[in-house]
Amino acid sequence: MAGIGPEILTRLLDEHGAALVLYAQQWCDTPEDVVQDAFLALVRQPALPDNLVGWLYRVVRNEAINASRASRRRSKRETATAGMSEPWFQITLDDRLDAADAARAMRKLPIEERETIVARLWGGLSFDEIAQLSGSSTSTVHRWYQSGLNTLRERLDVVCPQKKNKTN
Amino acid sequence: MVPRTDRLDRERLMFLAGQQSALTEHILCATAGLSSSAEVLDNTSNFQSLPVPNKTLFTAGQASSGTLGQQSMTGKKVRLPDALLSAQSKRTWAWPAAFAGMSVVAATFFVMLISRPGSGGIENIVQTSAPQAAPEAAAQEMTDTSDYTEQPRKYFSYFDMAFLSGADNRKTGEVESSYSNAVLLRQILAKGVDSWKPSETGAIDGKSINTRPLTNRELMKQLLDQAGAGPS
Repeated sequence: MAGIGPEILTRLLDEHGAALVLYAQQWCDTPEDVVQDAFLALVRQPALPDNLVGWLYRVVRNEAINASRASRRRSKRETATAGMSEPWFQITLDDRLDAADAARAMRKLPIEERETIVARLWGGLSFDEIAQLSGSSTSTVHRWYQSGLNTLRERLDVVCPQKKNKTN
Repeated sequence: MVPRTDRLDRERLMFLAGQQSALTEHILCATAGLSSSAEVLDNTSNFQSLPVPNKTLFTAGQASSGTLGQQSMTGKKVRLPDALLSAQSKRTWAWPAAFAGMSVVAATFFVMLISRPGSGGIENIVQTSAPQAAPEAAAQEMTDTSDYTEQPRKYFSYFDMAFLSGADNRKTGEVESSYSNAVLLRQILAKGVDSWKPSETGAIDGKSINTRPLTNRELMKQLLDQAGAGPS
C-alpha cells in the first residue's frame, strides 16, 4: 500500500497542471482552486489509481461543475466577468493564431464541444477516456470534437490542412 | 498554443501536499497498527532527484502537519526540533497531570473532613474513687469566687449547667440548685443509676439540696422570691 510521492506529484504538475486548469476553466471561474483540490485529493488516496491522468480529469470535472453551480447563486454579470478575465493561453510571438481570439472563439462553443477539444488537444486523453469522463459514447465524443474544430476553423479563418492539400 | 503554466501556485501546492501526505501516513499507520511508517510508504526511489525547492516544501509540509513523528520520505528517522517535541510531550501529559492533581486535592479534602476535630469524638467517662469529694471542693471554690462564668466550667461542661439549670443564674449568683443537679448527673454517669441514693437531707456544705432536679417553674419561682426579697 503506498500513497503518491513528491516525485510523481511534481511530474503530474509539470505535464498536466496547465491543461487541467484550462479544462476546469470551461465550467468555473476558479480553476486554480479546483485543480489544487484535485491534487490534494490524489495525495490523500491510500493507493494510486490505475489511470492517474484520467482520475485527475474526472475529479477536476466534478469539482468544477460543483463550483459553477455554487457560483450561479451570485449575479450573472459577476460570474461572466470573472470567467472572461483570465487569458487561457500563453502569448508567444510565433503563434499563427492570436491567443485571445482563440480563447474568444472557444468560449462561444457549446460546453460539450469545448470540453472535448480541451481534453483531447491539451489533456492528451483518448476518446474513450473522454467518453467515460462525460458519460457519453465514444462516437458522440468524436462527433463533438470534429464539430468543435470545424466551428473554430470557420471563426478563426483557418483552412483545414486536408482541404488545403486537396485544393492544391 | 499552450495553456498558461503560471496559474497554479506550485510552491503552495507542494507544501499542502506534504501536509496531506503526512496526515494520510499517520492515519494509515494508526489503522494498520504499523509501528513504522516506512512500511507504508514506498516512494523513496527518486526522492533525491527532485528539485530542492519541491523536496523542501514537501518535507516542510509534512513537518508542519504535526502528526509526522520521526519518519521522513527517505526512510531515515527525522528528529523534530526539540521545542516541537517538548511541546507535543507537554500536550500529551497535561491532562493526565491535571487529573492526578485534582484527585490528590480531593483526597486531601476528604481526609481533612473525616478527621476534623470533634467529629466522632466520644467523651470518656472516667470513674473516680471519690466522686463526692471533688464536687465539694468545686462547690467550695465556686462559692468563694464571684466569677460564676468560669468556675463551673472547670468541673462541669457548659452543657451540664445549661441543661440542668434551665436559667441563667449568673446575675443572681445562686448556683446551688444547678450545681447540685450537675453533681447528681456526674454521679449517675460515673457509677450508674443504681449508685444514686437520694438522701433525706442531701446536704452539701450544710445546706439542704433537692435530690430531684428543679423544674423551670420552680426555678423561676425561686428567682422571683429572691428578687422580691431584694438584694442581700
